[in-house]
Amino acid sequence: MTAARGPLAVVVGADTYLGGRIALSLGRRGCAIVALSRSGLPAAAAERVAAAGADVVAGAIAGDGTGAVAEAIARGARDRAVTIVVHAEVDEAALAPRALLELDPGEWEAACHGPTASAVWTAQAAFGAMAGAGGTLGFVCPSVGMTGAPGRVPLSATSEAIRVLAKSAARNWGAVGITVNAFAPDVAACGPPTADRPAAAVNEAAFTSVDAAEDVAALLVHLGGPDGALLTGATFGTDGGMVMAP
Amino acid sequence: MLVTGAGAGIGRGISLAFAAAGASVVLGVRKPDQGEAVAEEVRGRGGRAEVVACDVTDPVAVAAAVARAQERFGRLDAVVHNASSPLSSQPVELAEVDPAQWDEHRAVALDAAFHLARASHAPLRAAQGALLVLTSPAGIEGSSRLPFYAMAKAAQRGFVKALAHEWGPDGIRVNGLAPLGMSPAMHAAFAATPDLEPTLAAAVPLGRIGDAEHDIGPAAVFLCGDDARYVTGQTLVVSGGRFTLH
Repeated sequence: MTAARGPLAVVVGADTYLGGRIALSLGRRGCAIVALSRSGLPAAAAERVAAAGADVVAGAIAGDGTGAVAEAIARGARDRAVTIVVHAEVDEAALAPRALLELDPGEWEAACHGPTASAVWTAQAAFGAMAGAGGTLGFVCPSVGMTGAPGRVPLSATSEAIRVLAKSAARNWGAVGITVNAFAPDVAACGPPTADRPAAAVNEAAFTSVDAAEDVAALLVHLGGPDGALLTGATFGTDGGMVMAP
Repeated sequence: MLVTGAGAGIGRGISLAFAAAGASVVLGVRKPDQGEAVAEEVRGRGGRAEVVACDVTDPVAVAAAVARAQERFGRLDAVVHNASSPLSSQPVELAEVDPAQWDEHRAVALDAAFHLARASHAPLRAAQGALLVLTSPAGIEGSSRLPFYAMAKAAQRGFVKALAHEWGPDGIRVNGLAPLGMSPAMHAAFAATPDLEPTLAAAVPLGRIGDAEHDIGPAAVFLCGDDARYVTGQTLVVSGGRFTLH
C-alpha cells in the first residue's frame, strides 16, 4: 500500500469484470481505492490496483442491507473522507442472453432482486458516507436498458431501475453536496469477451475503440472534483457512441 | 382483454374504455368484491365483463386468471398490467426508507409483469395480441419523494423495451403507457390538500389532470388495437403535456 494521493473512491462490485477495471483506472488516475464486493474479498482486483502504485484497501460486504455496505465503506475508508462511490455490480451471469420464457420465477427473482437491492443499499450507504462533505455517486447501468434487446429482459429492467434510482437520488441529495449520475456502457463491456459476446461494439463513425472502464473512471474523477460539482442526474453514455439517448 | 388492478382509478377507466370499444373485459383484482362495481358499470352500459381474483404477485393466481379469461371468452387479445403497490403514492425519504419497501414495489410492478407475460404468451401469440404495461413519467425522470415507485416504473420500461424485441417475431406487441390521471390516491391527496389540484393542474399545459376513462383509457385501447399494429417497445406518455422529456 502506498500513501494516499488523491480522492478516496469506493468501488462496490470490485470483483466484477468492469468494477475491477474501474477500480484500476481510478487508481491510475490518483485515487485511493476501497475495493468492495459482496462475494468475498476482491483480492485480485486489489492486487492489480496496488501493482499500479495506488493506495488500495480490499473489503468484503458481509451480508445484505444498507448497514452491511456502510460498515464495509467505513472499514475501508478508515476515517478518510469518501469523495467517490461507484456501484458496478453488473451480474455477469445476466450477460448471457436468455429468453424470458426460459426463466422460472426463481431465476427471475435472482436476476432482478440482487442488482437492484444492492444499488439501493449502496445509495443509502453512500449518502451516509458523503452527506455534508459532499461527493459523487455513480451507477453502472448497461445501455441495453435504454434500448432493450432480445434475451435481455431482466438486465434491461434492472438497468433502467437503477438508472432512475440515480435520478431520484440526484433530485434529493444535491442539497447536501452529493451528485448522482449513471454511466451506460455497452453490455459487452460488462464482462470478459467470449465467443458469444465479442469485445464491445463501437460506433465507428464516432470512435475507433472504446474502453468503458476508462470512460467511467475519467468521468468519476471529473464529477468528484470542483469542475463537476453541478453535474447531476445525468446518464453518460460510455459505449463509444453506440446508443445516443434522445 | 385482461386488466389487472381493474377495481378503481386508472384500471377502472381503462376497463370501461375497452368495454366501450366493444371488448369483453376480464377485471383482475386482488379481492373479487373490488371489481364487482366496475363489472356492473360495464354490464349496465351493455358490455361484457367478468371479475377474477388475481393477486399479481402470485404466479399461480396470474396463470389462473389468464386461463379463466380464455375459458370465458374463448381468446385473449390483450393483457393490461395496471396493478401497483399500495405504497405507490406514499412519500418517503430515500436516505432513510426501509429498503424492504423496494421489494414490495418490485413484486407488484415488475415481477407481476413477468408472471403475466409468461402466462399470456401463448394466447397472445395465437391472437397476435398485445401486452400493455402501465408505467409512469416518474419512471422516466425519477422522483424525489417516490423513489422506489419511480424505480419500479423505470424497470417496467426496460422490461417493455426488451420484451418488445423478444416477442416481435411472435407477432406480440409490448408497450408502456405513462399516464397522469385521476386515481383514488390522487383524489385522497386533493381532499387532504385543497390547493394541490389547482397547483398541479396549472403545471399541465392542457390545464387539468387526465380523466381515467376518457383520457387514459382510449390511449390504452389504441395501443392494444389494430391501429397500433406497427407500434411496439414504446412508452406513450399521456399527461396533457406535463411531461415532455422522453
